[in-house]
Amino acid sequence: MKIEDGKVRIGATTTLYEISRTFLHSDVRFAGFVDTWKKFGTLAIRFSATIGGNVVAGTQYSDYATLLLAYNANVKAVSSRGERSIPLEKFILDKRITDLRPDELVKEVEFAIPPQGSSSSFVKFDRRELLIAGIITGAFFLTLEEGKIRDVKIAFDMVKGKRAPARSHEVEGFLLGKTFSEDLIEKAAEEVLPTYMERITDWWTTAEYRLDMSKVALRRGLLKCKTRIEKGVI
Amino acid sequence: MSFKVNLKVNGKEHVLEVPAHERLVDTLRYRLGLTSVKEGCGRGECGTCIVLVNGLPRHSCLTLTATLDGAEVLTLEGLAPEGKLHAIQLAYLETRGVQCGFCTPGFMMMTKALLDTHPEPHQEQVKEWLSSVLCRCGSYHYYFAAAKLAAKYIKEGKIYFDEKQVREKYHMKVIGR
Amino acid sequence: MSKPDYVQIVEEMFTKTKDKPTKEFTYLGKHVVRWDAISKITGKPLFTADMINLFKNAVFVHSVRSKYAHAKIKKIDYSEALKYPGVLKVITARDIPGINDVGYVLPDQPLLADRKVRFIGDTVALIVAESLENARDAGELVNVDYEPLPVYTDVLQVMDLNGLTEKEHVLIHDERGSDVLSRYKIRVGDVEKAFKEASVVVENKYRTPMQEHAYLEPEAAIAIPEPDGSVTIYAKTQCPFDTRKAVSNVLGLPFNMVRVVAPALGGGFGGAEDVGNEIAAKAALAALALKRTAVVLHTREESIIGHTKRHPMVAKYRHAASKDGTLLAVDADIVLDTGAYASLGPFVGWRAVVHSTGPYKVRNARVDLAVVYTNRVPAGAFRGFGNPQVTFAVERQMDLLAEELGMDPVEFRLKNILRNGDRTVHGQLLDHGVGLEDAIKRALEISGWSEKRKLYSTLKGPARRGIGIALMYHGNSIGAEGADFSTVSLIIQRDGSIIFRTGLTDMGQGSLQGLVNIAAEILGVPPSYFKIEPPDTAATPDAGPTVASRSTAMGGNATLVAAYKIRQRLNKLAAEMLGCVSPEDVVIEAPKVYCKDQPDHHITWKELIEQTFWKGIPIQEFGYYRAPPAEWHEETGTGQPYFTYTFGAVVSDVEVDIETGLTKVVEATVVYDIGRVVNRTGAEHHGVGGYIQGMGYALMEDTVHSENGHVYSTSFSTYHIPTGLDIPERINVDFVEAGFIRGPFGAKGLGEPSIVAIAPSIVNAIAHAIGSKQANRLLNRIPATPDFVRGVLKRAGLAR
Repeated sequence: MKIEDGKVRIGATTTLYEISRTFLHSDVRFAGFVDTWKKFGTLAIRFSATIGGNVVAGTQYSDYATLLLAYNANVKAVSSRGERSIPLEKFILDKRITDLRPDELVKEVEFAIPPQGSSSSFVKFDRRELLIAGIITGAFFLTLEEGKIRDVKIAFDMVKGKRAPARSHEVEGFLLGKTFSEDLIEKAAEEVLPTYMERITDWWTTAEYRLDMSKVALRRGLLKCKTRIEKGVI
Repeated sequence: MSFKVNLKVNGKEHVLEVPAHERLVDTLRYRLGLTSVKEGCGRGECGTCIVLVNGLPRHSCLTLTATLDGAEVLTLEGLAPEGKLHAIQLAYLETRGVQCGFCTPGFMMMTKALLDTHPEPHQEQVKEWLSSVLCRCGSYHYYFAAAKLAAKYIKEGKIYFDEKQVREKYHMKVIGR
Repeated sequence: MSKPDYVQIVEEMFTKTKDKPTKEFTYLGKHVVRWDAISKITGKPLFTADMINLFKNAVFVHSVRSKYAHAKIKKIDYSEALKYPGVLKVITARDIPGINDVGYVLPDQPLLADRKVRFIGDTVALIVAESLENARDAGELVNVDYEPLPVYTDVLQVMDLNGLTEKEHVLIHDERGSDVLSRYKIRVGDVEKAFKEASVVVENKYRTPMQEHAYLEPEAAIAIPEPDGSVTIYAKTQCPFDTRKAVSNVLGLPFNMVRVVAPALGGGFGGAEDVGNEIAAKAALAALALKRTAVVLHTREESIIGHTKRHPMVAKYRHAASKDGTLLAVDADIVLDTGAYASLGPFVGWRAVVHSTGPYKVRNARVDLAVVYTNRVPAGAFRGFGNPQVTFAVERQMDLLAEELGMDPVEFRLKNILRNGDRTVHGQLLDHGVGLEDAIKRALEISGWSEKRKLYSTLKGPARRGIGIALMYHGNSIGAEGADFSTVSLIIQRDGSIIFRTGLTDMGQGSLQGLVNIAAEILGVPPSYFKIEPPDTAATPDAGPTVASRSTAMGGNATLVAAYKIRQRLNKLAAEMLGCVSPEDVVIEAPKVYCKDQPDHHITWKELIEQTFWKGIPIQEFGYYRAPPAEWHEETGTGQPYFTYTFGAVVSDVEVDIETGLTKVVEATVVYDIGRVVNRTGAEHHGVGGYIQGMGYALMEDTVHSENGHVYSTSFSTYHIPTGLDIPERINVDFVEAGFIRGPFGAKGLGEPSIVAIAPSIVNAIAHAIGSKQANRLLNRIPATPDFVRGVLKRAGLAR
């Protein structure tokens, strides 16, 4: 893992444990990494689980993929033909389907170092604390400047039309540039999100509950970002 | 296709010839007879197969032995030298939490990994690390206490205990309150 | 009518010691390090699968399971499988030498499916191969020609809750002519009159899930063909003698040609009761067919679909009460889903009906209970055995009634609980040994009930707190299920060390330590003098099954009787050797033996034992105890179903997130009346462990089937049991000792009671946290998952 040209670069075989020993777990601008870590499998699996593994899996449970979407990350893939960089958003096509070509390997992921006044959060909960898929998952990134939303990125484990982690651009667009307030977030959650979020009923729980929880996650996730920015600590 | 693997297990060197798909849990249990390593789920979820590979916890049911050429593996059998018990083992005994005992080796290995990394863990760390293993009999509270007690012993320099003396002192004896 | 000597001995010991405080005993009620603790912390090969290494040249047995949850079998073609490398034999129903049945209570369950399959885990063929891998791969090549039939995955598809009438459907057990397995009833007093006179009537429907044992050790069995044509089997079984019976049946061999040994079990909870029979039979079939050691080893998925579960319940309850809070009547219709096969269904249904009105004085009751087949995984024994289900319904009803009456839930219960001198709903007089009121008082004290009940009602944020209580009682041992006896062999060796043998198994519950504590206390020797032998049908006496919370109560009595008899003989000899005034004066504090009033003049335990050899005094004893036959009148549900009951009170303190519906237990208090604490470590383990398992039942566990009868939750990530991060900060455990005259030193069982009242205490607490009458009624189902609780909040108009 290294910092180069204002970007954070993480090698594909970097384990989650190795990441936990870096600044990504202590600098408030990357706070979401700590949230994701805490709810990923059990601690023992994090010694073996890798960033690259999560990114190529392309499932709703690939928590780090969801988080990295909120950092607008790029994936670098290598093959005998050379190297290419693809936005993670375009790399994950649908459930378990990525843009990785048969002769390619994922080399690293990279994303820009956020400015001061930024933070992130990751919301994941289920019937119990650990070893969970999550009712839903949401990754949130926020940059505030004098109370105004300079930058916001929101990713969920799935959105309308895609059963894999993806960004909620419309909600982002609604929030960008506005003054952060609980009412604003409430409006985004209740009025904007449902239009671009589609949830599924399965044997675990209902679409209605998942949609409700997506709203709750949006609210709590963004509020947490704001508190972290204000306090300067994770 | 077979792979030649140099594997150091509990301090002893082995040269093994294993097929590509052989899991470490099977190598340890059936080739080397180290049955403290259990298979409770085969999917890295229950933690009863956890061993230390190069000092860090690994689910041996998810590890292919062929990838471990040159690695060092530690199981419960290797925690203490012959004739001795490790502070962790004594702590698990004294805090009297053992019920069916199936998950206990997994807990003890996670405790070893925890104490190697954080010799004076606070409660949150103990819970986080040890919760890598599932226990259906419900001994969690006892095992958290055991980890804390083991940390105390190690800090006091009491790492190994004579097994015979421990048996004399504890086997079916009245202890505690 | 005179009592058998073993009853007299037990009663004598109780009467002599009933006023002696537990803390004055030497081993009873103390923390004694269990006999296998050191073996377990050194990682010794104690479990069945750990023994595979000891056998060279073993073959492996894989069960090919059904593709459909309900179908006729037209043809099985395994010719391709037979050709697969490593495959030695394929066994189907036709190859069974004896009787193709492993039904636990009645013969409704083929070991290998022949005519039809009734659930997804039904075995259609056994592949025996050189490796487990080969066997599993070859299993894919078995071609079965099925004719699918309609699949029933909910009990209400087969039965109407109103009137409990069977619905028209394609019979699962067509050979029985009906899919209603058992029916039970209680008819006491005049229920209609009571409802007419009632001030308050509460009616509600309740549902409980199919809980999976999720013990960490998957099932395993090793069968060794012996030179004389017999077979020795090591298997994960709670009941080696029942396993032997099942295997003998399948093989067509007499009992003495089948030997079953139970190594340490990695958890059982009732789940290793009948699957043990099945895997032992499969291994034995393969072993005898191939004349090689045969191994059966389950994956977690096979374990989940392949062993019995807790019976799901659907019930409709009606309670009537008078204005002053007296319970007037209980009226209930209860259906238990026994899945594809009966297993222990008939017994579970019976225990459920016996406990269906709770630990209260009930003068008028009409209860009808039916146990019904579906195409789900069969339901059988699981800690509590029907009682957790009905207790959930009853304790929720009690809270709803209290609310209707405007009474505090504890006050209302105290008005109606059973006390010494009361009769149960079955008419059984409990003249002593009812420690329920004391248990409640202790629980209230320890949990801080009164202050919290008031305080929590005032909190109104997004994180609400609630405190709830639930009571229970649980009949000890098997009641009217069969002849109830237990046995042990206590064999003192010539050097003074002791061998202890019994057919009772250990699955982690540790009751064998309690038995040794009893023997140690009576003989006056430390527990460390004892060696416990593994249960072995060839060497240990049949002690009855290790079920029904009977090991301490029944095995303990057998142990007490054996130790008592030996002690009498030793006393007589020692008195002679030492010149004591009477044998009663002999004190044994091994290694010292002396007369009470002359402690300095002593002989040693070894010297005493050596003399027994010279004097021809036997120092081994076979301890036998038989419980008085239970009495049960089928038409009225009255009699004396169990000889004694364990009582308990559980208080749960929870936090509910109103936005997400997520519930966390913050603190819990459990107090049980177990008559006398015999094995304190084990008893505390049960208080704590039973709470955690009950918490899983209340909040997160269910074995979910698809419409087609396939199981979704086949792993630890899809079937949620509590992890170390889910446990409450503290679980307070305490005991009350209202001794029972026919228990060893008054002791009663705790294995199952420790899970019975957990779920309702948690849901009662959730109701308190939410604080809405409407929500209270809607909380009628477990698991109370976050989405369920959130749904309740929404319907009660409490969600934003």
